Amino acid sequence: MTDLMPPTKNKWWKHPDVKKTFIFWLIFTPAIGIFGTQFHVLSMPDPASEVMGGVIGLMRLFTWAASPVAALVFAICATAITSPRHYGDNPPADADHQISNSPRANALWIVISAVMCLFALVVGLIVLQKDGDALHEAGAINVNVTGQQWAWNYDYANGARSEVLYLPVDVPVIFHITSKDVKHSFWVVEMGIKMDANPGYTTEAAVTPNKIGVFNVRCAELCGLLHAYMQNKVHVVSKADYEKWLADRSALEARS
Amino acid sequence: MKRILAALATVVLGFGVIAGIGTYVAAAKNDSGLTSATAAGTFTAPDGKTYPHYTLNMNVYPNSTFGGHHGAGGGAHPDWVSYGLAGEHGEPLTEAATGTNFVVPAHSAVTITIWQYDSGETITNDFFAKVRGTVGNTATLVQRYDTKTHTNATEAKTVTQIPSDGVGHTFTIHGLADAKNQVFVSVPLPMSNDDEVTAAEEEGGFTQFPTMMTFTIITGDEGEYVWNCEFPCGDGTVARFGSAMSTMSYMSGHWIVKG
Repeated sequence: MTDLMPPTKNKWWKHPDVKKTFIFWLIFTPAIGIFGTQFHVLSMPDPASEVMGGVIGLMRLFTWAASPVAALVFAICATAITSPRHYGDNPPADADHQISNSPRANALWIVISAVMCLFALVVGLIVLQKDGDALHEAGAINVNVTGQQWAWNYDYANGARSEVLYLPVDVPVIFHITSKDVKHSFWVVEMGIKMDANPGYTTEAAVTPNKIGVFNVRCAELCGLLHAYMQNKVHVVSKADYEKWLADRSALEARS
Repeated sequence: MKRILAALATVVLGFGVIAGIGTYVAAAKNDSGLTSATAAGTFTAPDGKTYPHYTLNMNVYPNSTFGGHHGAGGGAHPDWVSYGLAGEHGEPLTEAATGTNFVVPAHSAVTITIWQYDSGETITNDFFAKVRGTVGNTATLVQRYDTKTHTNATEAKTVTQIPSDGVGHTFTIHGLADAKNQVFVSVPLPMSNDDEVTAAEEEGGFTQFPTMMTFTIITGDEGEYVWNCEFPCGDGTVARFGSAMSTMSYMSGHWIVKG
């Protein structure tokens, strides 16, 4: 049986460990926010669509929103590592904490968590629904996307088929996505489009590329032995170049 | 200070354990070694350009009993369908230590001949029933090649596609979408006569009359790509992409372009 001193009646926020944790939290919150957002800028590609621009902004916003929570965890860890420890019997009086249920603290925690989840959900949906706008565009082009272990192929309305995706700039495109075998995920990295490709079903995603260039398509669903090689290119070109490419590919495909 | 060092040591130890597991897994992968293409003079493409010329000969077998890089008797999975190195006339190279990882020079013409000893059926995605990415987007097909007399039992013809209900396997090269030229080559390999394949298998051998497909590709920049069969020909798991389709050195391998 340890010989404890009577617990002190100090307010919890006056406890030295709490003060230390708070100081750590004040330092860590902006540090994580700044480092996190800068890290995202470095690791995320230049956007090739309005949707991707929104996704990058969203990541920055969420990183800042999450940084106080992450900072609190790190601050508690830092306090635990840097505080003195007592070994053996007769611990100091302040080691004996009275733990009691606090309905107010529980309610506060639940409300904060719920508000943060709702914030992430609503803001995320507002940004991501933009890629659905093109689904209703009358002038949109349609491309059938087929995933198969471990390659993508694309079918166009005029009969052209290709292993490389060609799109005209500033024209909405609707992807009709399916799989021949297992579940894949069609991810046009720089355009912020990622949609599951399911065998037996056709899913749809839409985007309007707004930059000419060569970008990347990857499978974002672990799909087997050569999943890492299930990648190809998307060429965003002018309308005239796109029409020429489409006619050439259609003629090549029509050859028997 | 001691506690901070202990925390750092824990992190370092964690990284060490993960690195150790990664090293073990990398060392344990089923690698069939490297096979270099054979030099064969020069090749003039239809556009008049001349390239250094190389050749590769391969066979596709309905099982692995040919041995080769799988080892005597077919190794761990003698019943698995497999690619293997071929001799000049499609004969199995049972003693070949290397198999399906190919090394070819950059900016060269590589003529590949594949003897296909297996049967086939309807391919799941007819995109892969067409010849893509070869010189002229064509290949030369001999529907029946006599491996005993080393002659074409049927006439050789130039094809751009084969019927999608008669595909045995495909040879499809693709690669990472990096800043270099993307590589994509896909050639369908017609099925051999079903009855002859079955009869030969019952006798413990391979049909005398495989199909033979020859095509030439121009290699681009150096880089490491992969090739695999796009006809689901493994066992019943993962949409028939299991077993031989999900194990390197059977129906897949690396395609290494060196400068």
